[in-house]
Amino acid sequence: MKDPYQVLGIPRSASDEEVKRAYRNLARKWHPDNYAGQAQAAGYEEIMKEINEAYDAIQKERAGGGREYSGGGTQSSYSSYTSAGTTSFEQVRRLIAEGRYADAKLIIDSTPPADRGAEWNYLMGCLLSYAGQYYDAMRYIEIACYLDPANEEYREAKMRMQRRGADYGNVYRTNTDAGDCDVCGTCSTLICCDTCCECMGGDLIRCC
Amino acid sequence: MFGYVRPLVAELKVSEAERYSALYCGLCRAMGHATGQLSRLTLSYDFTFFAAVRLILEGAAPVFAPMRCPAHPASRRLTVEPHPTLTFTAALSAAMADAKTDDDLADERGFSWMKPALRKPFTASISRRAAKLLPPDTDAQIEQRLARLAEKERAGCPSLDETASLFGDLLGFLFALRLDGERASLASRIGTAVGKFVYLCDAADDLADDVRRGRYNPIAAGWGPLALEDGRLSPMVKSSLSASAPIGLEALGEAAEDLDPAHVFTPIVKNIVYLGLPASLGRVLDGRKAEKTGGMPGKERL
Repeated sequence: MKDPYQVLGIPRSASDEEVKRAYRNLARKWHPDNYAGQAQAAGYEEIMKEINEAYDAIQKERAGGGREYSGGGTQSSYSSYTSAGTTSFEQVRRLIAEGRYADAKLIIDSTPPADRGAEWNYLMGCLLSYAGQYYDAMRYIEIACYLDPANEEYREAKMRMQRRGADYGNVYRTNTDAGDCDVCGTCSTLICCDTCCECMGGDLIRCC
Repeated sequence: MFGYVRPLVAELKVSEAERYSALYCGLCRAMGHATGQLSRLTLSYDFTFFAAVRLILEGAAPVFAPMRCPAHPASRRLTVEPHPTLTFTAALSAAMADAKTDDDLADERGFSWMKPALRKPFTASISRRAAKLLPPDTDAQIEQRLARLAEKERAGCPSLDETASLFGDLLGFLFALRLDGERASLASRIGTAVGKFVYLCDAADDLADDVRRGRYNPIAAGWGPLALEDGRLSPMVKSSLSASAPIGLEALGEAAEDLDPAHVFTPIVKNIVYLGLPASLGRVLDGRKAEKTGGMPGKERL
């Protein structure tokens, strides 16, 4: 269970009034009416459930002076619904590895809304990026990272996309530079040649 | 149209900046001749880019000459002399201005409906003059493509790729109009990629406004409650768009590499493609408005 105060985004010292206000704001933001019919609805519903649980926990804790939460493991909080569709997601991964994107997409599309958690968003993002639909792909990957911030795989996918985006225009920028005929370039070429020669048993620069 | 398709002036060579503003002036002049003096008010950076791409594709050799202009009576400015491509661009710009007005009329509710309604007689009249200079079914073709997009938008389509591609189709069609063979397909590749990108910028730009007024917005439709934070683009949306939009531009970069490298306007087009568009995206994501350069790009800043 996540720390309920962290879920509501308030300090432990918050007054009852502040707790209520934070809860109301979040509940309004994540109300199911705001995302009716959307593909990631299940992930969002999970968040709403979490907010409700956190609020209840705080209420209970404050009413009875009950047990304290000492910020347990956050990684496991979403395992409940990633496991629900595990077998079919494994199949999707296998199909992607074999390059059978259309078949993988069929399974992804037919996943019941209740199982569309972080992993579903991630796989959807991968499939869309293979199809060249980068705007949507990045949205799903970003949401996967949001739903499961601790997952290395999702974070890595996001960073790969970011690096690729940042690379755009590099061809242009390097082309307009003076070229690589500077001192550094010449030296490193010589050293490279020397190393290659030595590998083959010869030597280009005697002193090193 | 939108004003996102402009060069990063600081990175242009002085000679390129001069030629770019000469093209801008030349297009403005062509609009005056083709669709009436008032239509010069609808002059845009986007169609200046269009003109540059078309001049390159057609292998045209534009003539530069210093000319006077009523907007800048003090000095003569370098201007591209009248050219059929500029006239054609002017006519398309007028047709698009009218299509945009129709689109706004269909979108707006209540008081804000006034603005496009007042503009309508003007854009309708310049579009009528433009129609004589364009292939006969151009208006119908534009309308048909915009209708397809409007249908998707009315259905609340959550996929930014789908809606943006439909707008890309429209620009692809415009860029390739009257060209044939390889040149048409290259023009269409450029138009499609630019259209997708412009649609994304426009969606991000209007997001807060659209949500406040309960209008459709493709980003809001896709991201739901995650789209906005404190009434502005959420960091998640920003991070997503700042990675995916440049990746979407890769196709445009490849197309730009296929343009004739020897043409005077090619370096300018490449500046727009590689630097200008990402700069526009950065402005939109940061919620900044484009700085005014006093009508003519480049000149004042140099």
